[in-house]
Formats: sequence, structure tokens, C-alpha cells
Amino acid sequence: MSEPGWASTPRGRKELLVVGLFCATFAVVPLLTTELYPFSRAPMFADAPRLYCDYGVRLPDGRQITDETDKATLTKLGVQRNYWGNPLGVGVGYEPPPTVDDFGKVADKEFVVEMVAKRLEQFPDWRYVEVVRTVVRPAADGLIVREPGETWRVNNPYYKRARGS
Amino acid sequence: MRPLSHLDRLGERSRPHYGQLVLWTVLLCACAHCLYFELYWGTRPEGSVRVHNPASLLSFLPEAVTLNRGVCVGFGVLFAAGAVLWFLRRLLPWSAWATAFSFNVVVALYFENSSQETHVAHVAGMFLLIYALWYHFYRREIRDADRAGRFWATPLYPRWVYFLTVFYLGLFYGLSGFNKVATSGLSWANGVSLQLWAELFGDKSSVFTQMILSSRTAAAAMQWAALVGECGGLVAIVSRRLRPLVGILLIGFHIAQISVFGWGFYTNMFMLALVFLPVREWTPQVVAWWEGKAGNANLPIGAAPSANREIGVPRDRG
Repeated sequence: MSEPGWASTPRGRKELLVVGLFCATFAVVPLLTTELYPFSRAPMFADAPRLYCDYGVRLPDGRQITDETDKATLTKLGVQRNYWGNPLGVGVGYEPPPTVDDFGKVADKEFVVEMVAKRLEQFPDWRYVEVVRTVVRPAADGLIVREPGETWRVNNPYYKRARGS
Repeated sequence: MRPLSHLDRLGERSRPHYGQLVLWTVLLCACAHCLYFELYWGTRPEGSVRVHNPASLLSFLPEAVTLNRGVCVGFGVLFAAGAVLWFLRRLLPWSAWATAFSFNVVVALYFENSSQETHVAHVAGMFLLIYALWYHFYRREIRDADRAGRFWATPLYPRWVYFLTVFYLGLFYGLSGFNKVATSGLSWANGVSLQLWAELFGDKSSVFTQMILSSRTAAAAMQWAALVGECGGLVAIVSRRLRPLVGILLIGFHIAQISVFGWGFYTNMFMLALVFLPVREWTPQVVAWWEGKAGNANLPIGAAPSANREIGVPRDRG
């Protein structure tokens, strides 16, 4: 049903004003700030990584800790993956715990060893840990390859030998 | 010619079947989202650090409010009560406003307490707001029509409600698409990043994951389709002709994305189907067919199938 002159009636003008405000607000605010719920630029997966790293830890008793088996321990050691497609700490109240993993980049050995050594204070029973880093990158044949992992031994400066051992 | 006459079309009204279909769908989806956000409120890794950038429009409130689970549960209860009353068209327009407001508060409070952003609920939140605006401006007509038992026969659904949903959906995807180009350039769609994401997050049993991982060309083609679909969101706002095409591209993108990654963009998919595909144009025909089947004899004059041509969806240009 068409109401002639609707846009010029007081009611039509009121409704149009609300429509205009809605459009203007949702078009402008996301240009000023990436995320401010309910406004959003929907920035998920806007990055274009060329590679990523998997970090794991091997304990003196031979146990392997990976992202899948024990993420909490990896997080305590600072080698967990925080990435899941959205910019970290944007549009949320918390930033995930610090990590050596900057998705899409390869951290150098010194940085990883320093980060893990500092955090071994929480694990005084471990004499050392071995950090295993695997780089996952594109291959020339159009597939994705996992390079052989590099292993770095990190001695625990906080190690307390158990009594009697 | 009056200066605003070209906007008169936004005030054209049709019977409320299509509007109610969208409203009921979005209410159902919002219930699922609300339950999820209530259950997973405050889920974040130990050692997460509070950030001081505002996450939502509620960030200006004291932490005693934004970090309080009781507040989130309270708004969840308000949402549930509002949604039931709105569905029954009771306490209008307050039930509509309570539903839209409390849903968006629950989502905002979830973000305030989380370390991971998600975009699965933005569309539901804004569709509720748009539909609350409809019920607010047409509350008297809706109440009168209900009292007279002629709700379904009365032209109550203004075109601007549909226009706002098209605008919001198109803008949501358009911004996302152009943000990708602005951040990474057109090389975003080179297939490598999608292969890496599929390797990392993908369900390896999905046929789409296998296609992506076995061929960079296939991965690049999918990324281009997604990018064209997302950027096409802005085109869909102005072009009625291209809107279904953009809708199909984006629905396809969501089907593949759900199959590979499992992220729950179901609400977006339903809204794309209802808003970008010609459902609004088909609805009066389905209603006419149904009413014809049910028998016209007992129906009010305004509800007769012939009336649909008059007060259904006009043959529009945009």
C-alpha cells in the first residue's frame, strides 16, 4: 500500500530520520574504529599469512606436550598459539597471555629460549625442556608442507633437585 | 515535485507475512546465540590480560557491572521473557525493545569478558534492533489490527524495514571484504592463506578441506569467490538485480566455511537467504496460494488473494 506524500508527513519524516541515522552510524563508526560492538569492520581473516609455526615441548621423561594435548602447560611456558583469525585484544575485554608465536612469522631461537627459561620458574621439577618448532609453509607443487622440526634445549635455572635423587 | 517525494516508496506497506517470517527466524537464532553466550561467558585462557581499549558501547560502565556474571544472566532472562512476549505480540513496543536491547547487552558482556572476538551474532543483534524499530513506529496499527483479528490482512510492513536489513547485511559483508583488500591487498586471495587456515583449523574429513589442501588453484578460486561475494555486499544494497547473485555467493561461502571450519554463521546464512534471495517477492504468492487452498470464502476482504497484488510486494526497482 502506498501512502502519497509519506516522506513529507511528520510521521514519515520521523521514520526517515531514524533510517538515515541508522545508515550513517553503521557506515561511519566502523571506519573510525575496527571493533566497538555493535559496530564492526568484521576484520576476521583479513591477514594473508605465508606460513605459520607449531610449537611443542618435550619433557625430560620423554613426554610430548602439544597444542592438542595440553594447551594450558604450553600457555604457562609461553609457546601456545593465540591466533584464531581475529586481531588479538581488539573488540574484547582481554588479551590472551603472551606467547612467542606471532602468527605468520618465525620467532628466532634466542627469543624462544629466553621466554621459556623465564617461565620454567613454575616447573622447578623439570631439569630442562626441549622446545620443538615446526614451520608449516606452502610448497612449489601447490601443497602445504611441514618442515622437519627444530629442537632447542632450554635448561631450567630454577630446577630444584628432588631429595634423595 | 516535493523534495522528499522520491523517498515515498520507503513508506509503502505490505502485509506482514514476510516481516514476521524474518522476525521469527531471527528470534529463534537469537535464542540459540543467547544460550551460547550465557554458557560460555568468561571463557578465556588463564593468564589473559585485561585490555583498556573499549570493546563495546558498554565499556564505559564500571567493571563491577561489565565483569559481573549476574548482570549477564539477568539480561539473558529479560531477553527470554521479551522474546516470548514479542512473539505473542504482547506489551508492544516494550517487549520488542526489551528483546533487542537485552540481546545486544548479553553479546556485549560476552565480549567484555572474552579474549576472542566472534562475529556470529552481529547480524542477529542488528536485525532485532531494526525489527524493534518497526514495531515501535507501527505499534498502534499492529495493536488495532490484532484487536480486530486482521493482523495478517492489514498492510503493516513498511518498505524501509526491508531496506535497512538489506543495507546492514550489504554493509557488514562489504566492510569485511574491503577490509581484507585494505589490509592485505588483492593478493589476499592467492590461495596460500586459505590452505594454511585449512591445514590448521580445517576438518580434514570435509570435501572442501580436501579440495583446498590438494590444489592451490582451487583454494584461490574459493578465496576469490568469497572476496567478490563480500565486496559485492555493497553492490547488493543498490542493485536489486544483482542481490540474489551476491546472496548465492555468500551463502555458498558460508556453506563451505561451516563445512571446513565449523564456525557457526548460521544466522547470517538464514538472513542472507531471507533478504538477498527474492523471498520477499515470493512470500505474497505463497500466501495467496495458501489462502486460495484454505478457501477464500471465510477470509476478510483484505486477505483475498487478489488483494496481494495491491498490498503485497510491489514491482520495485531496488
